[in-house]
Amino acid sequence: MPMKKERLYRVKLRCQRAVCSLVLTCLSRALRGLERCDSRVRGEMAQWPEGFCISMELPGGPVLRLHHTKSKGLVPVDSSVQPDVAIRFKSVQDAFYLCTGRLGVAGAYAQHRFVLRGNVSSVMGFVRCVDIAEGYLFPRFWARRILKEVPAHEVPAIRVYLAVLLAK
Amino acid sequence: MQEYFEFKLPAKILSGGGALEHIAHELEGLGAHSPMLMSDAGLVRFGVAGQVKAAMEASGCHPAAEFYDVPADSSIQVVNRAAELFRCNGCDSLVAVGGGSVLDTAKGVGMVLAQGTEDLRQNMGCEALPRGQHIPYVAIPTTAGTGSEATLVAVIADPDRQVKMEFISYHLLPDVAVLDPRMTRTLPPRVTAATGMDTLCHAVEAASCLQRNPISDAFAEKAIGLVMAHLTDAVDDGDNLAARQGMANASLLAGAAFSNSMVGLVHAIGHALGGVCRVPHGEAMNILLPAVMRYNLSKCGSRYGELLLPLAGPEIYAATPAPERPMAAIQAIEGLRGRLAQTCKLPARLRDTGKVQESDFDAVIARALNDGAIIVNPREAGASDIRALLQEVW
Repeated sequence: MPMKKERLYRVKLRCQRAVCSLVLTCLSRALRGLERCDSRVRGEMAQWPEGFCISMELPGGPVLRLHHTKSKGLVPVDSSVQPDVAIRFKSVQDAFYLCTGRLGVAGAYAQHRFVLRGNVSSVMGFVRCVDIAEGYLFPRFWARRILKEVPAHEVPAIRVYLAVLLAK
Repeated sequence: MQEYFEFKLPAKILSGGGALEHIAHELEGLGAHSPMLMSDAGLVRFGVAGQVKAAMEASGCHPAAEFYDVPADSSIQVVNRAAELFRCNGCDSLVAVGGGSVLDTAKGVGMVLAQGTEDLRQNMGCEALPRGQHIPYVAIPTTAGTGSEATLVAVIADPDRQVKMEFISYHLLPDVAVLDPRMTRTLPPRVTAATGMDTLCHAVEAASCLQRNPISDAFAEKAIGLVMAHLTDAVDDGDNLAARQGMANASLLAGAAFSNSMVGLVHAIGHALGGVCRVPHGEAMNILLPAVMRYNLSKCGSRYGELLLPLAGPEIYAATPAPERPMAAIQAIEGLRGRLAQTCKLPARLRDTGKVQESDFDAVIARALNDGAIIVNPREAGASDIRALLQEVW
């Protein structure tokens, strides 16, 4: 019986890891789409230093690493680019809570779900961008649970969903 | 209240008259025999650092090195110089006497030595620092405000890049915090008042922000009660050692509270006002606290209502109908602020500080929005909200 529990636990972790990987990819695409169509996200990213790189990491992977330049905007990059700021979740479950909308970034921070390596102030703009993305991606009643204030939609949410689905 | 929380306060607390004389014993218990004594030039001039040194020497503990060159805003260069002195003299522990700058510098020195790093910038971040080598650290605050003796935060400037680096790690917490009323006796009334309001602000924000938890609540509420009981006495009569001790205890309790639950929008704007316009931190807290509480009312009014009990006492709390308690709590703080304005001219409006122009607001807002404290404020605050708050307290 204990063996079965352990096996189930491992399966659960694998599933959670897969969900996180999928959601991080969706988040990356949503942020790229929003940079084009939402003035607040564009304004935040315009203030980032040239070549700013941020990563979100789960222990044992996956890793989402985003690199921002004025010419290309926000693009995912591989691990050869050193991040300026790294958000590292303490466990797969902690990342799963954030990725599945059980916690917003502020809630995850308040519950010590991740550690941050780098300049704290340089990550605040990214947090606001993620909040805006969550405001589009989650239904309003759900976003209200995890965000302090649900950001108004500047464009229909369908445009963000399309950016996620079509990776454009 | 969050469903998961963490809390750490490892420091042994020595509180009361004669605490200084126990430092040598505590160092011995930590296996340290060659401490480096750190302070600033002002405290050396007023004899405060000398008092600590004499108390240590009287118990047979002689500092192996002394570093008194800590400026008001500490920097990487200061930290590196102090760490070099530590190494050159074969020191094994740190004893820091001072306000937030000295205590934060000592945390920085401990970090450099523990991590064996040459570049402090590599250690920036939140909870990302490994323990490293343990450098015993005794913190002796000389103000009752920053609470740095009980916090996991250190702020150190990087003048080359013109940024203040923030380090948040449980490994920065001191091993021993020494609260001796002799250490704050020479503080002028206005500094006593401003630092006391900083303590009150730490406690109120810790007790109402997103990261609050049952243990930090207990610390914060007790701190609020102590501030309301002792601050005006400490301002009126600096030699009132009972009031000084009460405020020292309040500062530590509030520091422990916000170290484990963080602060909020008052601090985000206050840090920005300090960075852009050099407004003293305690004065900024005094000016902003009631206005930000009114701003947050819609999100944590009931929590403010609970704080009326330590703010005003059980009789007023019981006599105030529940819906009126949040506003009564804010009014209690405004009442204290009014008394401090009368006795020591502590400014209650931004323009009265003589350091801020309305043209500075844009820079203040930009900096406040990127301050880490804003993330746990219970209500979202954007640029227009912060501008409205600055106008309100102008």
